[in-house]
Amino acid sequence: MIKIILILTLFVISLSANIGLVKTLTGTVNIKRIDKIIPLNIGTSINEGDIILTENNSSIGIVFVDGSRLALGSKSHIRIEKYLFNPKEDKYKFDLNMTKGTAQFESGEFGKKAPESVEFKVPEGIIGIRGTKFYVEIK
Amino acid sequence: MKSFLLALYIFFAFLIFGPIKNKIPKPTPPPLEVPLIKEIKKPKPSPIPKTIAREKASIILGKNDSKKNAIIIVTKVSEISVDVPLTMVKLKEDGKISNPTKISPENLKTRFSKVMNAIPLKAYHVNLFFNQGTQLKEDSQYIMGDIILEMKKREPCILEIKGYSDTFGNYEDNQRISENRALYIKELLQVSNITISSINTAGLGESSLFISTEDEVKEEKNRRVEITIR
Repeated sequence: MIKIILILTLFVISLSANIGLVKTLTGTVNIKRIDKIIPLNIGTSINEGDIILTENNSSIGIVFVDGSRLALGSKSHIRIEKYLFNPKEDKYKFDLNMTKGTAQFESGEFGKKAPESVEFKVPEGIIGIRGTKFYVEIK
Repeated sequence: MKSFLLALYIFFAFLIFGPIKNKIPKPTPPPLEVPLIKEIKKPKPSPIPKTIAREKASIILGKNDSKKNAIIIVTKVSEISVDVPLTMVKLKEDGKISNPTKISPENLKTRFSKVMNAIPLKAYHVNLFFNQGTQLKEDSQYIMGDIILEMKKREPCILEIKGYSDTFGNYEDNQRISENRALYIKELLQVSNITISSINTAGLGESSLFISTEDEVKEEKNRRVEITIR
């Protein structure tokens, strides 16, 4: 029984592997990870499923494993819904869901290898990329 | 006798003219066409205002160094492709997309200064070349200083180090040499006192030649290590 629990725990950990790193940060930025609010710092890892929440007068910059870069301004909410970057098996998927605030996104290897696998969701629409850099402001 | 006549007179008068109360004229109701209460004028119904769909998001294509630079925006009712930098479209709550408009670099900077300042630096890529084994060429030794500077700029950094060989010699030896080259550079960079979040090293042997050659060819450009700093 203990072995099964251990295997399941390792499986869950492997599913939520680090996919990005906090490189810049001003003010107060938290992540919501499995119902826990965790304050972010420079050097903190980002996992799939994390919801990033910036407060007033705050910002954050994140580099993902493939080199994609994301910056958020004040009072922004975004969820990293799916991140799969596996060139060896030719498997790619990157889904983000932004509901509030401002953002800058620039694709890394995703933009070169599988741009069609990136979906940046905003209220009322989805932004697809073709190797790109763009800005979003949500009212 | 007089009182008898008076009573008789009253009796006949009653018979002829009836009870006195019937003779009191009833108040006539006011004519129907005259309103009792002054009619309240109903305001004319104003035209129904057209509901204007609120803007939900603004999306702007930025300038990018790469040739590929476009976004495709899809809503439940519309779709648009934007491939001209500094073009803005707005999404509305009804799913409609505004016509593309231009935005000046100054305006973009004003609206997005916070995120522009927060965006991490772009990845730095560099190749180091080897004479043989793990002996770095002189030119590449000079680049090491630049690499440390680039790591410092991106601290805490993510390092990706890939070693390669040329096609001279047997495949297994070249695989081992490529791995040793990657590990050698990893050791050099780890002593720099810069916070490294993660290092990923790999030896790729004769695969992915920088200069395409036949087998058993010495080519200095293929004896290399590729470094990516994020």
